[in-house]
Amino acid sequence: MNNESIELLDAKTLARADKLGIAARFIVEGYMAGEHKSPYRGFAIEFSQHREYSPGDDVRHVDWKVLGKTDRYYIKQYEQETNFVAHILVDGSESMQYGSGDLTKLEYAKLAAACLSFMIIKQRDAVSLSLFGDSTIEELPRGNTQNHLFNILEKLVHFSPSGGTDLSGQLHSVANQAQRKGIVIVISDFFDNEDSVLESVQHLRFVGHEVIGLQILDDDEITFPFNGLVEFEGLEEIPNLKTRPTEIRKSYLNEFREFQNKLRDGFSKNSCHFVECNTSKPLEEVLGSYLTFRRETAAK
Amino acid sequence: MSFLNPALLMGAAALAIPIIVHLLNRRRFKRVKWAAMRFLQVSLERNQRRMKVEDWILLLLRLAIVALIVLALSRPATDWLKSSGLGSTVTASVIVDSSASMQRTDQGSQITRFDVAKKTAEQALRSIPRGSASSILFAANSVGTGIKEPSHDIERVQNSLSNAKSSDRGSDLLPAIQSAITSLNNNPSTQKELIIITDGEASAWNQFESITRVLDQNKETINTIITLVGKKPNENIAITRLSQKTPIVSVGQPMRLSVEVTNFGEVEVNDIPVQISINEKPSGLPVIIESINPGEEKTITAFVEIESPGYLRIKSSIDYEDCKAVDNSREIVIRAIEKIRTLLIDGEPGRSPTESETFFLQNALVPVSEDLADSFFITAEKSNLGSIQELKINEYDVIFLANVPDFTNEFANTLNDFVRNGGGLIVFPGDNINASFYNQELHEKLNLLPASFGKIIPDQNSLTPLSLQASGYDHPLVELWNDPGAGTLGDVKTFKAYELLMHTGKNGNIAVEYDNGFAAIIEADVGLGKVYQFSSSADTEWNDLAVKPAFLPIIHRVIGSVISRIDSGLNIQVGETFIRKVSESWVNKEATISHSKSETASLISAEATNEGADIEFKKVNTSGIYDLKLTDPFELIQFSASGDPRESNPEKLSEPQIERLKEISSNFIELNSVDEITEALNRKRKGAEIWPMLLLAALLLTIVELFLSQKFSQEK
Repeated sequence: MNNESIELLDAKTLARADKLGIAARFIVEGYMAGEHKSPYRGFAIEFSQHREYSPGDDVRHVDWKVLGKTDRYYIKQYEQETNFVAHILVDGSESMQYGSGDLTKLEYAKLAAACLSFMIIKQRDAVSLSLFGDSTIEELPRGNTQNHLFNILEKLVHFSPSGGTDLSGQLHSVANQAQRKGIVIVISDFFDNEDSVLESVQHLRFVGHEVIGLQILDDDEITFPFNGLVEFEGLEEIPNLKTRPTEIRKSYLNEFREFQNKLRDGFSKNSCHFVECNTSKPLEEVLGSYLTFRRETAAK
Repeated sequence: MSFLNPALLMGAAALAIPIIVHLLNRRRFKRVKWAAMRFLQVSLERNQRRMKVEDWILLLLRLAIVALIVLALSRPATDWLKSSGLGSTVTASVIVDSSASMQRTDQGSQITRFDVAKKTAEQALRSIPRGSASSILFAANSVGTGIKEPSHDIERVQNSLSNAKSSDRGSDLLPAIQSAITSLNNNPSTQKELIIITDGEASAWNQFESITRVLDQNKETINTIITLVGKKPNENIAITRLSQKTPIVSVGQPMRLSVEVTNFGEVEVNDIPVQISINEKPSGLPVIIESINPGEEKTITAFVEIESPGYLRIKSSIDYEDCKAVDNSREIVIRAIEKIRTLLIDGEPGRSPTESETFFLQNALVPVSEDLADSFFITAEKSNLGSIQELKINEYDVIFLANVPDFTNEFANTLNDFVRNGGGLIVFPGDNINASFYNQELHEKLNLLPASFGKIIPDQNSLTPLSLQASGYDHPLVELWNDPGAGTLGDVKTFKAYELLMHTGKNGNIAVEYDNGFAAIIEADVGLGKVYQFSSSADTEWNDLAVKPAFLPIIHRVIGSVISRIDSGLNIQVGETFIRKVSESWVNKEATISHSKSETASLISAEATNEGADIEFKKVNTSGIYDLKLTDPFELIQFSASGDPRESNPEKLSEPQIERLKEISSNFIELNSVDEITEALNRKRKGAEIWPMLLLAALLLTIVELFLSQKFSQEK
C-alpha cells in the first residue's frame, strides 16, 4: 500500500476494514475448521503419481532421480490444474441500500465479497473486483496478494452506492473483457430485468466462465410483512407508491417468487449456481451451506 | 315528507366525517424506503382498480350510515297514513270552554254550545294518532278541571270529556291556556297541539293581548287550533245585578232591593215582568219594565217585607224566552235580624238625660216614640262607667264607648273577645278620655282600635272649624251622599277632634275625612267583628253632627255595616272562593256543603286561625244557593253564587281580533261541522315516522360495512 492509500484509510475505515477482514476470516476459518481443506484446492499444477515409461511418452517427464536410484524409467505424471481468477461483482445500486435488520443488503454483500476475496486469495487464487450500479463505479484488476486483499477491503469499505442497476450490462462487459476464464461471482439483489440478466449469464457461460449468483435479499422483501397504510419510497427513481400492503401481499409474493424462480431456472439451465442470501441469516451459514453444496456437486 | 326535528338535519354536516377520516388516513401513511418496487408496482397495477372500487364501496357505505343516522335523528315523517291514526305521535292539550255562555243553545241547534264543543273535542281526540298523549281542560275563569298533564290513556281523557258538565262560571281562557302551554313546553314531544274550543264570546278573551302574546311566543313549537262554536244570538235578556239596598235587614221592616236588567240582544224588548220571590215564594206582583233598548240596562227598585229572621233566599226572575235561560234569574242570600241590641257606655252621663254624652246616639238608634220603642228593631241600653264590670256584653250586638275615660285591662280583654267573635264596637272620644290608655291598651296592645289618638285638631288658635268632606264618598258607609238629593256631609262642623293616626301594619280604612284631609271616621275588621273609631265626640260638645240630618243615617249605616260584617261574602260570583269566618266551635267538626239543587253534599272542615276559624269552599261552579251545615251543634249558613253578568253578553270577538288569532294560530275554524276539526288537525300533523326503519337500515349497513372492511383488508 502506498502512502496515499494509507491516508485514504482513516482509523475508522481501517477499523471497519479490519473488522470486515476478521469477520471474513472468522467465517472462512470457521468453515475450514470443519472441512480441513479448501474447496478450491487443486487448481495449481501438482504431482500426481509415477508410471512406467512407455514408448511415445515425452522424455521431458522422465524422472531422472528415480532412474538414478532404481535404473528404471518412470514418468512423472502431473495433474494439470490451472489457477483461477474470481471476478467478484458487487451491485452498488440504491436498491441495495435497503435493510430492515442490522445490515443493509449492500453491507451484507460487501461482507460476502470480502469473505470470498479473503478465502480465494488465501488459497493463492486471483480476485478481481467490480463495484457497479448502472455503470462500473469501482474496479480492481485481479491480484492474489495480501495487499490486493487489503485494497479490495478498502474499496469495499469506501464504496457508497448510487443510481440504478445495469447488471446485465456489467455481466456482458465482464464477458467481453475477461481474458481468462474464471468464476464470475455476482453479488446483487438482481432487481433488474431478469431476461437481460439471464442473457448476460448465458454470454458469460459462452465465453467459458462459471457464474455464481448470490442474490442478497432482505427478509422484508421475501416476506413482505407490512400492515396498515404504507407509502413505499422507491430507492431507484421509481415513484412513491401508497397502498395497504395486506391487500396486495399475496400478489407481491407471487410476483417475487415468479421472478426468483425465473432467475433460478435460468441459472440452472446455464449450469450456474444461484444462491438466495437472506440478510437476516448469518453469512457464514449461507456461505457454508453453499460451499458444502458446491463441493458435493463437484465430487459427483 | 316532513321532519319532526328539522334542526338535527344540520347534523348532515357529519357526512363530512367519513370523508375527513378518509383524507386524514391518507396523511397517516407510514413511509418505508423500498427496493423491490417493481414487484410492488406490478401488484398495485394489478389490484389498483379493485382497491379503488373497494375504497369507494366502503366510503359510500360509511356516508350512507351517517346520512341514515342523521335522517333518523331528524325524525322524518311521511305524509302517508295520517288519517288512519298511524301518523307521528302528538302531545295535545284540548281546552274546552265550560263557562256559562257555553250553556246557550243556538238557533237551529238542538244542543248547547258546550255539547257541540264536547263533540268537537271528542272528534279531535279520536283523530289523535296511536301512542299520542293528550290532556283536557274545561276552562272557565280558572285553570279549570279535567286532566291537566298530557296522558297516554286517551280513553281516560275521553271519559273525562264525556262526564264533563258546563259551569256557571264566567270565562277567562288565559289561565287555562297558560297552564296547557306550560305542560306542553315541559313535554319532550316534537309535535305539540293546543286545541281551543270556545264560543268566541269576547268575555272569554278579555285578556286578549296576554292570550295572543303567549300563543305568539309559542307558535313555533305548538300548533294552535282555535275552534269557535256557536253563533251570535239575536236576543238575550239578563238580570245582571240583584242587590240589597237596605243597610239593616230586620224582621217587620221593608227591605229595598235593586234589580238591573240588561238587553244584550239586537232588538228592543218590551213589557218585561220582573218577579221577586223570597224562599221560592213570590213576593208581591211582578214589576213591569216597559221597554229596554238593545245594549241598554234598566234598574228597578223593589220592596219586600221580611217576615221571619234568619237566612232568606231572595230571587229576581224575568219571564222571557231567549237563548240563555240561566241568566234570566239571579239569587242572593241575606240574613234578616229580629232585633239589634246596642249598649251605650256613657263616659259623661251629666245631670240630666239631655246632658249625657249618649243622648243623641240613643235617639238616633231608636228614632221612635217610647211606645213604639219596644217594637223597633234596634234597642239601645245605656250604662255608666261604674257598672261596667257587671255588664254581660255578649248579650249585645254593638257597643258604643262615648267619652269613656278608661277601664280595666280585664274589661278591655272582654271587649276584645267580644269584637273578635263578631261584635261591633264604636268609639267616640271626648274631653274625658285617657288617650294614652286607648293608644297603648286598645290600639297597640290589643290591636282593637285601627288608629291612635293624636293631637287635638284644629289648632286651638284657629277660629275655623273643620268640615267633613263635601264630595267623593267612596266608602260604602257614606256612598249614599254621592246622590246630591241626599244632601251633603260638608255642612257638618267640627270644632274639636283628635287627629287619628294610622300606623303601618295596622288594619283600617278611612270612611270619612275632614276637608283638610284628616281622618274623621276610620273603620276596621277585627276578627269576626268590626270597629268604628270616630275622631270627635258623640254629642254636640265638639261638633254639630249629632244635630244634623246625616247623623241618623250615619249611625244606622254604621250599625248595618257592623251587622253585615258577619254576613259579608254571603253573595259571591260563581268561580270565586267562598270564605267564611266561623267560630272556633267549627274546628275539628264535620260540616257539609251542598248546592240547593243537588242531592249530594261534600264534606268540609274549618281551619283554625288567629282570629277563630276559616272555612273555605273553592268548587263554586254552579250558580244558586249553597247550604253550609254544621251538625253538632247545628248551625246553618247559606250563601249564593251568581253567574258573571258579562257571560250574558253575546258579543263576539271583533274582526281585527279574529284576524290576529288567525295570524298566530295554525288553524282558525268557525265550526260548522265537527269533522272540520279532524281535517284541520290532519293538515298540520306529520305522517308516519320512519326513523326506526332508517336506524335499522343504518344498522344493517354498519354490519355490511364491518364485514366488507374485514374482507377487503384480508391478504390478497
